[in-house]
Amino acid sequence: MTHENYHYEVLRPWAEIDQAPLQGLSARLTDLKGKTIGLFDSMKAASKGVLTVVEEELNKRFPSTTFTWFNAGFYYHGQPYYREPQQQEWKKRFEAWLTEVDAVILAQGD
Amino acid sequence: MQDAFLVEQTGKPAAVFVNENFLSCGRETAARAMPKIRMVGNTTPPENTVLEKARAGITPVIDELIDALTKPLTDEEKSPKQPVAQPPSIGFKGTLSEVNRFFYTQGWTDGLPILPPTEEAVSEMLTGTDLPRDHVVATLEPGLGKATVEKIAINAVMAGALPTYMPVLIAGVQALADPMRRFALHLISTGSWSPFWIINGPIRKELAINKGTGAFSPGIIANAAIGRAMGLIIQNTAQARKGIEDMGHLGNPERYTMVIAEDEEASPWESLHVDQGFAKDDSAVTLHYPHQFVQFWALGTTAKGILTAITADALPGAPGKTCLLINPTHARILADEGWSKADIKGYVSRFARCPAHQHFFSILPGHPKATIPLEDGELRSLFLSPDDIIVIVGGGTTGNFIGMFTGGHLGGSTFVTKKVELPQKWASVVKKYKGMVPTYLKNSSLRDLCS
Repeated sequence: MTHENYHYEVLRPWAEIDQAPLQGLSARLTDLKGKTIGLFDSMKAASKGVLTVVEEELNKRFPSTTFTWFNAGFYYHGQPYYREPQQQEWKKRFEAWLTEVDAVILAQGD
Repeated sequence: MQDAFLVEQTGKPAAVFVNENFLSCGRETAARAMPKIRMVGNTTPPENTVLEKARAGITPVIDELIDALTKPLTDEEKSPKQPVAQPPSIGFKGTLSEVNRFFYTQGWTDGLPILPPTEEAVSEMLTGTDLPRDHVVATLEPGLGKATVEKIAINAVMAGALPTYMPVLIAGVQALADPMRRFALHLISTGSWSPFWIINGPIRKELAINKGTGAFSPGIIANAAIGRAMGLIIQNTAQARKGIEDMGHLGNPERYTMVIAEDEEASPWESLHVDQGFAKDDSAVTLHYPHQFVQFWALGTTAKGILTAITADALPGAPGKTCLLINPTHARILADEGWSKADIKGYVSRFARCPAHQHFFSILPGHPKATIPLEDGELRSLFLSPDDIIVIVGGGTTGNFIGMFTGGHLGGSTFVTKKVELPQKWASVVKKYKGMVPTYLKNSSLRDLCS
């Protein structure tokens, strides 16, 4: 029997995952008039420009809307924020900022 | 995307702006947690710093952005369908070419032919460990796949690894999962970083891992298959698919394999794993995650010539964690002139410099040194600290070259070293597979791999 004809029964290399329950979205705003919109700046190079234009354009349409920025930053108090305890401090800062806004626009990816 | 999920979890609506080429990446990430999160693609180029280009990309999609925050939710967005439980490990049966074609089209290979992971082959691979096959060594982001001992063995068989490599592969997975390694950031980044595996201790000889001439060239099974196996393990466990989760846009050929044993016997200094806190008789795996490997000529066979070459050839655009590969001849020269590893690291971190306006940290947002002055002619150190550099010895004695593996720094990550744990019957497993090297090596400078 040549190897071209031999049939191999093989195992699957793709790892199994424990799927967590999928989550739905929060209710939307009725409109943006008079709302406080958070602008999440991921601190990647394009982020600031994107959000600057977003703020300008939304201001034209909704003059009563206010905006507040959150700078994600690679570093927080001089240490990369991915490291504990900096990560926990960063999270507290982010959650505190979220209490001040009605909705958030995030610039993500590169 | 985690930030967007957190926004929604606090009861606030979120709209995520991404470059259109990142939409699939975002959707695949969201599919595992919050599949209906509202994303708006735009044509602003990645890493764009020109405001007018941002305006051209964003203005056409502003209405879509407003809709993302105001349009009422659908039933599916309020309560997404929960996934069906995954089927048990589905196998496949076919000829060698059918297996290869199936595995390739499933996205389970690195593009090269694989050896079929039959139950028989996987069972033989598992003789390299005492751990039960369903033991979860780690769960790897972004896919959160469970790297069980069995999955490690299946991917090892595919790569052409020997059972004696299992302890190294298991330690490698542990290194990936170490929180200080920030592995997932390097895997999904647009930067195409690549794992670099450095092996220390007695296991180097037991596995005949090349530490000398041509260590990074093809031809020695351990260097080839250990790296390839880790690549397949990463691919099939962390599950970052090209252009979906893995956004490395240039790619990196070093992801096929980049493995070396440190030449501890020729080194005048302590070995890397001892530097990292392990005993000399331990076997260990160190994981570095650089951008690139560069080789350059020493400017003389003196300490000055060697160190000047290193400081001159360090790349200004690629700072971060760096591994210097010093060949045994240069290592002896440096040591004879009184240079320790600490001295070398201190010298390089101080004198590898570039003009301030070319310095990476002058443009990196949020970095504490991002406000360095841009005076004409001012030179700044490329390295924040000597701790950003490790030094290893290897690569043979037939030339005048120095190696540098540079650029790994994402998320404050660092070099991670893990001990290699051996099974009880290790001696018998090693004996079965020892000595499997190309016969021509007996007449080469690599003859010690034959013993």
